[in-house]
Amino acid sequence: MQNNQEKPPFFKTWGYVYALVAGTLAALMVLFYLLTKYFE
Amino acid sequence: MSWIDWTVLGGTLLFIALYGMWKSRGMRNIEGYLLADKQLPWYHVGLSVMATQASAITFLSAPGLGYADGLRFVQFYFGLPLAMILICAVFIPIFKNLNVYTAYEYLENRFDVKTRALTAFLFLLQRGLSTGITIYAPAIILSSILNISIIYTTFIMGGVVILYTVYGGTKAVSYTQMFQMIIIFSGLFMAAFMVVYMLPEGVGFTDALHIAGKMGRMNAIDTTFDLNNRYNIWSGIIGGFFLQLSYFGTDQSQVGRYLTGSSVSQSRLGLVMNGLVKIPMQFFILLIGVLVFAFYQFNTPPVFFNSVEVNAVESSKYAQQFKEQEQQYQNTYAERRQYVDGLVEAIHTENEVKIGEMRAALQQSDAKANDVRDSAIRIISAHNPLADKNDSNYVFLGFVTRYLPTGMVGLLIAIIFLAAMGSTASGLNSLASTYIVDFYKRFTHKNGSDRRYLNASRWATVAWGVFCMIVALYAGKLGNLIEAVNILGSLFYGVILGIFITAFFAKNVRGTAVFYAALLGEVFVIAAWLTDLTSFLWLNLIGCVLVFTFAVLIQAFKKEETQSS
Repeated sequence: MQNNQEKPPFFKTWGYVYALVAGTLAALMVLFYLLTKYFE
Repeated sequence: MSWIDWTVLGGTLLFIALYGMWKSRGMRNIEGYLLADKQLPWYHVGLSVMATQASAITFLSAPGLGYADGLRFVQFYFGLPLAMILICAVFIPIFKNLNVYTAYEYLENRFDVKTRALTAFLFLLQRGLSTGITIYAPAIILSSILNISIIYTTFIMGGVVILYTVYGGTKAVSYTQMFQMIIIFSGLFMAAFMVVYMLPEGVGFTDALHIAGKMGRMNAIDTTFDLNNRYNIWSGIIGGFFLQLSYFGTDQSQVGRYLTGSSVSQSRLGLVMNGLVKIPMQFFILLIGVLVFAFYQFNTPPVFFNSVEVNAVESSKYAQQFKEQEQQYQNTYAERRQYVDGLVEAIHTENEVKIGEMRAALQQSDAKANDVRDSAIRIISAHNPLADKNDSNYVFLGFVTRYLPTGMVGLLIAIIFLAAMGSTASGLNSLASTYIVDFYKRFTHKNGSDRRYLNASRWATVAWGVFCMIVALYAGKLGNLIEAVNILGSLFYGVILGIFITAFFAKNVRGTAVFYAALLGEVFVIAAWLTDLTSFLWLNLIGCVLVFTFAVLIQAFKKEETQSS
């Protein structure tokens, strides 16, 4: 049986790791939006 | 190509193939062959997952999309990081704990054998067709370079991939994919640098982006909600989420990659890496196409990028007619150069009025050039009615072979080969795994030895390779290949995902209910696609929701029926 409760190597829980992924997505979308507006 | 390019190309491919074979030597059991003994660290998993998705099509079609349509295709990947989160949280622990070889094994555990067989069959159908397209894509390159029929290049390309995959199994696939991704990234950075370097004096990187932006190519975000618009932020996040969730969560070509992780954490970290890196990588590849577009504002592009078709028409009775169109196209580009220079000057001086004027003039000139191009395409069609009228897959390749210096041409072509090898190898490996584990071992040879399953896996890889090559011969009629693969995926992925979502989240639903729900859902999805009901990305959501809803309803109806009787 694998251990589902293994901690990530960085951050305290996997929830924080997932928040980092979601936050990066949000930041990229904002960046792309600004890029679109700036160069159009 | 010069001998230096051939040396770079041959040397790179030989190194990768030998490295993979060396790393996978001494393969003796099916777990090693199909799951690399479940010993790989997270960075192997992450790069392998990325290399499986980033096929040769990505490096041929995506710059072509960037050139013709701008950056908006990047929105297609917005659902991916969210899908990674759900797969890490829900799918990986379940698959790892059950110690399965394929995702479909879990379905027998949860539902019944017929649901497992139906889902595995839908996967084999979809993946078999998609892998055929991924073999076809690099075959275009050989065809274009050697100027021979694409039929021969398809067989040569497919044959090499089959040999490589049959020998190496999953371990070789994963090890080679790691090196492939390193070489791919290095080569792409060099290509982007070269495009900017070759722009005229006084025109820099930001000028190129401004020019592309004024011509509608810097359109990374479209916030309008339109069900029939393929790429906007909403279809990307919602439709893309369901497509990516289905692809990474239920497609064995991906599940087989992260099952090789040495623990739940290592598999999760591999997917987290994919969630963080994939969008910037895809953006960068599209940006190369946009930069090539800017480059061609100062250099006349060919009237048609597919040199095989152009060469054919130039040696036919239509040669003179075609030459006239080519000349007219060149004249149009010579005329428009003054507007491009005017636009650059207006951008430098921030003269908004002049920017508007130059943009309008360029749009008019574009319309004229497109008319000439359409005439040229009609001549190509008159000569060969079966000729592919879509040349977007040839844009990047044409630029590389025409303008990049000796050595880089070989490297860039090697990149496309490496990408093809990585994704095709994963595809064939997953087709063989699913056939062997979910059909051969499950139904016809239940008590075979490890040796027998290993040999059968190798033969299954050969058989699927041949099937995919046959499909590859017809792939040229599908338009832009990256879209063709995604449309094909969307026809099946939503339904397959619906089965898994029902398994995870509707605990009271049983096998028979989900089986008939899946059949009904697939019929609806295909009908929706045939009647052009909506853009293909939404089919993933529709398929998933329909299967889930039908399954819950059928289960409720069956319960009532049982109670009343």
